[in-house]
Amino acid sequence: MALLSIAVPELSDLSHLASVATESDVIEAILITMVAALVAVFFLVIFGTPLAYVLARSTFRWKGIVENIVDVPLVLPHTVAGLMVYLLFMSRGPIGAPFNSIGIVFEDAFPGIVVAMIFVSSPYYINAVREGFEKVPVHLENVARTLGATRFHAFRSITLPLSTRHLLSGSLLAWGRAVGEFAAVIMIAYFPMVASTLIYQRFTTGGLAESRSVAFIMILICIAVFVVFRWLTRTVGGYDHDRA
Amino acid sequence: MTMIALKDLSAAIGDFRLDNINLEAGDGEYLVLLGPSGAGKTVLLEVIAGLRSPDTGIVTINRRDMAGVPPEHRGTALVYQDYSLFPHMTAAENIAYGLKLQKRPVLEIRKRVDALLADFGISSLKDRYPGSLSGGEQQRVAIARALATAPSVLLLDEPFASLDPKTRDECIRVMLELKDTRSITIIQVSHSGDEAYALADRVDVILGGRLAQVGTPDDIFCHPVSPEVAQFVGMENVLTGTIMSNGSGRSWISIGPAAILLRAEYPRSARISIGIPAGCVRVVSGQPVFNDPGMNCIPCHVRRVTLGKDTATLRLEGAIPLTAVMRQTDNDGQIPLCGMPVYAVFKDTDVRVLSGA
Repeated sequence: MALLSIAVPELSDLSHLASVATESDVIEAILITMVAALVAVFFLVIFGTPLAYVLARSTFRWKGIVENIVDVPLVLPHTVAGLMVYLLFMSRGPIGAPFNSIGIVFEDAFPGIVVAMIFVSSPYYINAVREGFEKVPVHLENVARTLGATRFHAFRSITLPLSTRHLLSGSLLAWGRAVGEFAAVIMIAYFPMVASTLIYQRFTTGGLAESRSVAFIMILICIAVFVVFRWLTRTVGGYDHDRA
Repeated sequence: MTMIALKDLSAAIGDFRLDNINLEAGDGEYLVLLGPSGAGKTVLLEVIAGLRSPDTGIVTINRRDMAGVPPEHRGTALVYQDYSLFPHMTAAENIAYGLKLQKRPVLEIRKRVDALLADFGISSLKDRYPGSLSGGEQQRVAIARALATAPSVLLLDEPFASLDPKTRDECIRVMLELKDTRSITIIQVSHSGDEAYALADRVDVILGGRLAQVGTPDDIFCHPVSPEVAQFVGMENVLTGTIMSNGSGRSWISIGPAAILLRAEYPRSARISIGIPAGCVRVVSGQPVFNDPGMNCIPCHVRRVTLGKDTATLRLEGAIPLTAVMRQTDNDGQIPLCGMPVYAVFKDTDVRVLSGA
C-alpha cells in the first residue's frame, strides 16, 4: 500500500517525474549513493571475507568477543553508529588524523560516506558469508590439502566456489543496507548528499511532492538491482549443496 | 622397510584421547586399525596426514620426521568415510584435481584420469557430478582421486561403512586387486572384523585410545591377548577363573561351579582369563560319550535361539553362561528349542588363554 501511495501519484504526473529525474542534484545524489555503496561492498569483500572465513573455521580464545564486535552495528541506533564513525574518522580522530595528513578527508566527503556505509552494513555481509563457509564441509578442504593444495588454494578452488551464492547474497544485503543508510551517513557527511539525505532535505524544505519523486526513482532502481542480482545468484553456483 | 612410524603419539581432541600410540606400517603393507566407533581412529589418520598436530610424539614417513610438514607435502592421500567428493566438479575433474596442482601437461592428465577411470570400472561416470552417483560409485571415484597423484601412503577412513553388503563385497574385491597391483602402503580404519580379515596384512586393535594388540588377523582373532580385545573381535565366551590342578600338559580351571580343561600347564591358583570361540562350541542333546580325554562337556539348557541366514546362535545357561553358533544344517537340521536340556561340548585346544599366569 505504501508502495502504491508513492507509485500512483508519481505515475499520474510523468512529466514532473521526468523533470525531477533529470535534475542534476538528483542524478548526482543517486550516483553517489550507488557508487559509495559499491565501494563499501568492495572493501567488505576484501576485508570481511577473510574475517568470515576465520570465524567459520577456527576456534580461538577471543572468538566470542570478535563475534559480538561484528554484530554490534546491528543493535546500535544508527545515530550512535554515525557518532562512533565520526569520532574515529574526523580529521582529529585516531584514524582520521593519519589519513588527513596524506590528503584523505572523511568529514563531508565521499570517503566519509563509504566508511559510514561499511560500518552499518558489515554484519550483514560477514554473517552471510560466514554461514556459507560453514556449510562447506571441512573434510573437502582436508582432502584437497592431502591432494597437494595449499591452504589458500584449497580455499580458492573448493570453499569459495561452493559458497558463491552466500557471497553474492551477502554482498547484495550489504549493498542494500548501505544504499538505505541515512543517520550514520549524515553524522559524518551531510554533503555530498546521498539519496536518503536528499529525500529528507526535500521533505523538510520542499514538502511531500518534492521528496516523493526522488523516493520513487530510488525504489525503481533498487528493485531493478535486486531482481537482476537474485537472478544472478540463481544462475551462478547452481551446483552446490542441494545436489551433493 | 618401514614406511610410516608413529612414536609415543598422544593427542586430545574434543572427547577423544589417543594415548601413547606406537605403530608401524611397512612399505606396501595393508594395515587395518581396528576399533569401535568413536575410538579416535579418524583423528589418528588426520594426524598422519598432517591435518592435525599431535600433542606429543613423532610421525615419520619414509624415515623423515613430519613435524611441521604441511599435508600437501606429505604424500599421504586421505579418503573419508563420506568420500568428500568435490560437489562442483565432475568425477573426472575430481580425479584430475591433484594432477592439475602438480601442473602436469593437459594431455598427460587426461590420459591418467582415463586410465584410473578404466581401472575402477567407472569410465561411464566420467562426466557425472557426485550428487548423482551411488555410494559405491562415489567411493571408487574417491579412491581413484586419492591414487591419481601416486601417494606413498593411502589413508582410508571406514571406506565401506555406509555401503550395502553387496557393494561392500565388490569394493573389498577392488581393494584386494589394488593391493596386488600397486605397491602402496595402505592404512585403513575399520570397526569390522570381516574387513580386517579380508584385507589386512596386519591389524592394530585400538581400544579406549590405546593400542591394545598388534598382529596378523589370525593372531588377533584367534589369540587375543586380553579379555577386552577378545570381546571386541567377537569372541563370545570370555571367562575368568582360577587354576585348580595341572599335569601332563593340561590344566583344570574352575569358573564358578564349572571346571574347564585347557591344553597348557599353568601354576595352581593362578587367575587367568580364557576365551572360547562360539563356533567351536557344539551343542548335543544326549549325554555324549568320548574317547578323547581332552573334551569339555558342560550340562546346560537353551535360554535363547537367534536364527541367522544360515546359522543359529544359541545362548546357553548352566554352570556357566556360554554362546554357541551352529550351522542350520548341523544335527540334520535339528536346532534345539528354548528350555531344552543340552550339553555344550568343546575341545581343550579350543580354549584360548587371554591373559594371566
